[in-house]
Amino acid sequence: MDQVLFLFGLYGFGVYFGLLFKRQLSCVLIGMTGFLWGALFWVAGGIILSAASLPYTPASMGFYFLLLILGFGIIHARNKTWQLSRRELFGILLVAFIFILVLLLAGHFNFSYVSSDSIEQISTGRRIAHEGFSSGVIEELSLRGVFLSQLQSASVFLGDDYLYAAQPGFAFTFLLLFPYLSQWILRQLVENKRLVLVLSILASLVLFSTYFIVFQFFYIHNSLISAVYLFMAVCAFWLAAVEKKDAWVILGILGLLGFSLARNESPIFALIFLLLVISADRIPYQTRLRSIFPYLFALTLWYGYLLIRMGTGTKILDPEKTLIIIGALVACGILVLSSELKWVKRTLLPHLPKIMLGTLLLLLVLMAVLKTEHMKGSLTVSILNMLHYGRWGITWLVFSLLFLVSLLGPRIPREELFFYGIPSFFCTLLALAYFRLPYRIGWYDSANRMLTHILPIIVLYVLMKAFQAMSGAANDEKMVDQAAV
Amino acid sequence: MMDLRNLLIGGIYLAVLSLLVFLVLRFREKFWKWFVPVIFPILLTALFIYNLVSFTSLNQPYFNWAYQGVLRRLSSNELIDLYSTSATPLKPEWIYPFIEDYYLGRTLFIPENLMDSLDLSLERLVSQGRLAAVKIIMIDGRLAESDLEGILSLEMIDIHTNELNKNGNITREEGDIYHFVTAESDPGTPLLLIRFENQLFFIPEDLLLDLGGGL
Repeated sequence: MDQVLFLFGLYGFGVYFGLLFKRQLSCVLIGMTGFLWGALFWVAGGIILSAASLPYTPASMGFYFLLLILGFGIIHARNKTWQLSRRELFGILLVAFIFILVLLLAGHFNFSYVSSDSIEQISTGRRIAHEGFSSGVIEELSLRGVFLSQLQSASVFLGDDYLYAAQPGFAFTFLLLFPYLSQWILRQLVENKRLVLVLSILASLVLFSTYFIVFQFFYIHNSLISAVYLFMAVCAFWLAAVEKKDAWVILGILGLLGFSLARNESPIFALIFLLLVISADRIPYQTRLRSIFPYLFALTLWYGYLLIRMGTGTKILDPEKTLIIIGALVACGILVLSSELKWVKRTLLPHLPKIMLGTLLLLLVLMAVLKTEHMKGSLTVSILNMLHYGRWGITWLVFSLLFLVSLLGPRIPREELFFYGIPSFFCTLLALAYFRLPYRIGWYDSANRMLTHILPIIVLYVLMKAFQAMSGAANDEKMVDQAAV
Repeated sequence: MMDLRNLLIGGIYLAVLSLLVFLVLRFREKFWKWFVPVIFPILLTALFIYNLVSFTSLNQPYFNWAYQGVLRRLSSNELIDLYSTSATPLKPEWIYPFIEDYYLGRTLFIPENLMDSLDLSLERLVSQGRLAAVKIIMIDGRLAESDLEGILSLEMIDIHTNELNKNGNITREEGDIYHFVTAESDPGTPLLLIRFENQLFFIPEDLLLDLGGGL
């Protein structure tokens, strides 16, 4: 019961934070995303305390949350965002009620599954609670991301063996978020609300009935967590460009932060989408500075801290790779700073997506030349996992086809985020193989698990392209009819 | 890897892709007008039904011995059930949380002649196992076969681990079996670690004295 209350507390805090954006976002969305922000604030607080060698205890975390509650409370009072209409309150309470029900059910019907990676992360989480960021813990964090371990560390404070309800909590958030954001986005493209509703529900049913996705609802690992944060980030960035609301930018950046902390390689993937956001030049410069800069700064600090503490590092993250990540973060920071300069704005930014994808492709060719068998094997294995061994059923078979076909459809607004983002994601995934052992056949392969991050984005992109094409076709027909009249 | 079945799947995939591309290029707007409201919902419904039907066949032990896991309800929310239901081979270093669970704050005595064969770290026994102290004592920690029956009659939890290779990766070979005696004992009593072949027993001293005999 303590665990359910703890996770529900995080959810409640997340909603309290989300309500800061009540003027720009719907309360239902705020209710749906509560757990994402609550968990992220817990993880961020834990990292700050442990890295600063301050006691990481229930009392210190309680004090940290108290400070946040007071700080947000002042903003709420100033902006009067604490005032909720009956309808808004009902929307939030309904989602909250279902969320607590899901947590209770997850405790009663526990279907959790662990692989060796998961056990390491649970074990590291328990070590964090006992030892803080000791050298042994840092070694583990250099192998796997910090997010899951930091969250799992709370189990020690709760007197539980592990957090069995956290994964279903993220799964439930994703279950609500995918159809809700898909609908929201598709309604920007077409007016046929009924068809939007039907297809977004059908697409959600397909996505969330795919065996490997259902498996990850209970598999204690960072893949599903990464997927939900990345999906949130990409949708928020697209909506920020279309609706021009700062709230979306902030949620997008927070989503990207959650994604980046989940795995050690994630910042590289995150930077792909961030560069596409910067290149689109749809977010005001001041907003860009206020939101993207803190994200880059926080990640640079974290990787700098790892660099100082890691010694020789691990097979996943050694000092050289850490320096590459820090370099990429700093370079992105410089780009953000200089993005208002005329020549950058006119010459570099519009071509940035092409330059990025072109560079990645060139890099892949170079890697293929240098390690032909290694890269060929990794590519073959990844394809085989997608289509046969990865426990995806035929979901990838169908959606990769639909994705390729939808590329032929008419352009959607702000398409660069998807058009360049998705191929760049795959290129980076393959390029990572160069620096490690080749990918393996099986569901447990890293690349196969990381496909979870991009599948929901592909499904959404296919839906967007299809609707755009349909609305284009319908408009053309109307014009022909009018011309005939 | 590239067997006939995979080649067949690849062939069908390319054929369908070519057909779709042809239809898009040939009919353009007409294709999308029919595709989105008619074919797309049918396709998604079919895929959803396929996912439901194929779920059970996919939820079967996987071919890789180390990752055989399937979705199955756990009998409790304890770590031991999570490990055993997941059927993941275990490293010795993953047993520390059990020591914390069963023997929090106790002192552990390790016989000196067990030290060489022990896969556990004394520091982590204290930091992660939450023992008050770990002390090395000069007694023979190896059990005689005749004493085994008495100890095995006690209430205990067993964890089977696998041997590790030079790189620290799990191998298929059986490693040590850790027995955590959970029978009721005085919480202030120290623990003793004893070994019989590849079996290690964490046993409270008072229970050991109760067993008497040649122990």
